Amino acid sequence: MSKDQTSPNEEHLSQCNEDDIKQSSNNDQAVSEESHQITADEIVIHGLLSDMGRRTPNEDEMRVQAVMRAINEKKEVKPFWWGLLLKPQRVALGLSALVVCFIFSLVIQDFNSVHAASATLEKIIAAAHKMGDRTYSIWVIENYKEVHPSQRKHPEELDGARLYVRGPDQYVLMQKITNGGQRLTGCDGELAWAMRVDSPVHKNDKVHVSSDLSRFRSGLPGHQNELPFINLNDQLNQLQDKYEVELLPEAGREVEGRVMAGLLGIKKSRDVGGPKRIEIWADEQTGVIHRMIMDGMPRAKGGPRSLIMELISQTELPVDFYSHTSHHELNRKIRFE
Amino acid sequence: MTFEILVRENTRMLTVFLRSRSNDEAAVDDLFQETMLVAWRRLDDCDLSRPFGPWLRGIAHRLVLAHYRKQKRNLLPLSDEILEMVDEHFENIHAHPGDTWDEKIGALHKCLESLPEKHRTVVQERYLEDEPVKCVADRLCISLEACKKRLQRARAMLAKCLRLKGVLATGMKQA
Repeated sequence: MSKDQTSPNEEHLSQCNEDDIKQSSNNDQAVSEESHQITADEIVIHGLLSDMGRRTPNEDEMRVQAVMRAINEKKEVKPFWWGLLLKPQRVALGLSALVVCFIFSLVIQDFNSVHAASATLEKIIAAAHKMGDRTYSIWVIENYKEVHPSQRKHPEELDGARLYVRGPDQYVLMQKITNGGQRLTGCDGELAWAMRVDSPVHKNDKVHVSSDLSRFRSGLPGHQNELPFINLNDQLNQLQDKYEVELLPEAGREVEGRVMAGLLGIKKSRDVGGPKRIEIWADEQTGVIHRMIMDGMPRAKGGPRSLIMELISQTELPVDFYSHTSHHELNRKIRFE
Repeated sequence: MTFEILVRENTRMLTVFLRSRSNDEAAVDDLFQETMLVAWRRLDDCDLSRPFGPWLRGIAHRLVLAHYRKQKRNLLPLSDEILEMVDEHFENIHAHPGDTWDEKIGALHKCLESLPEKHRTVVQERYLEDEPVKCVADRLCISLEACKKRLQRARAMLAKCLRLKGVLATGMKQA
């Protein structure tokens, strides 16, 4: 359908109601109400007539089927990632019911309050800024249809990857490489680095080091989508600016003795990079993010469509863990970029 | 299964609602799907003892606004009063006798037939043949503004007719 056709609210409001609105501030309420009524009538009649002209045979059934298909696909996705998180015997009990029973026990009343969501997000941001070591597992919930292996840009697997984070700008991401070994990408706050390890093929590869802290993030989910996956502070700030954030209705419930704050971010615009939907579960007391789900990642020759990041440890790591020297032999060649 | 019933019961209403707000059919398709999926995700938040339609239209309305923001197109904001009146119309149609949406709005055909010929023609070409207003104006050899005015008048007459037949809500001054 051509977009140059104006809908009646555009037509009507642009022709007369805009002026009416300006004038109506000085007119009596009855005139304003009449004007509103005319506009409302126009909108509904336009909808009825447009529908009459555009509807196609079997349209309703096709719409219903499309919705139910999408819902079933989503239902299939949920058990998969929950299944990854839970013990096998629990999976058998029925994941949806288990999630409800396992995770949540209280419902907060004002779940839809933008203010409350914003305050929670600010709290999480503040906490993330001064946090110590956190280790996350990354799982791919769903991949886009696989491209031909030769077209695949990154042979590193995100599924099963491990992310270590400290403070606002230190991280190490360990990813398996499909043909053996691991790719390590990291940053100690001053230098970013990348290398392959445990790979007989690449054992003589140089360690790549750069003072550009975003230099080696191209293989990370989120970075290519303008949402720095590993820099939680940046990511959370992006959430504030580019996403509609609201509290999840299940927020406030207890998980393993912790009251969890749940936030849902829906991308405001398709023009913005990043996943369409981000779900964050954080300890309400400490602000530590326990789980982050990213759904609807932009397609890039296949790759993950949905990811989950799950906190697995807060054990303190060696001071120099985020430096590249902790992960390779001293005699390995270094290439500064 | 319960949700599928809700989808079936509200498909036509939601489609009409979305077509009342957007002329872009691809957007209508996307918004329909998105509205239903949001409703499904938030079904627990919905008080099913109350009418489902207004809740669904509330979701759709927010998604329409978001869509226009994404498109960087200006859609003049509709006041709460207008939105409430639109909602009253949809609820009135819902409550109107008839098993299906088409039965409930069956009077629209009769109202169309009762329009003066020049108004019926402009509606026929603009809507039933789905022609852009400019093309309709050119075909009828009238100015674009005159064509828009004629369409506006035709819609007003149809609204009055449907109101008299009890399909649209009584409203305020138009009754």
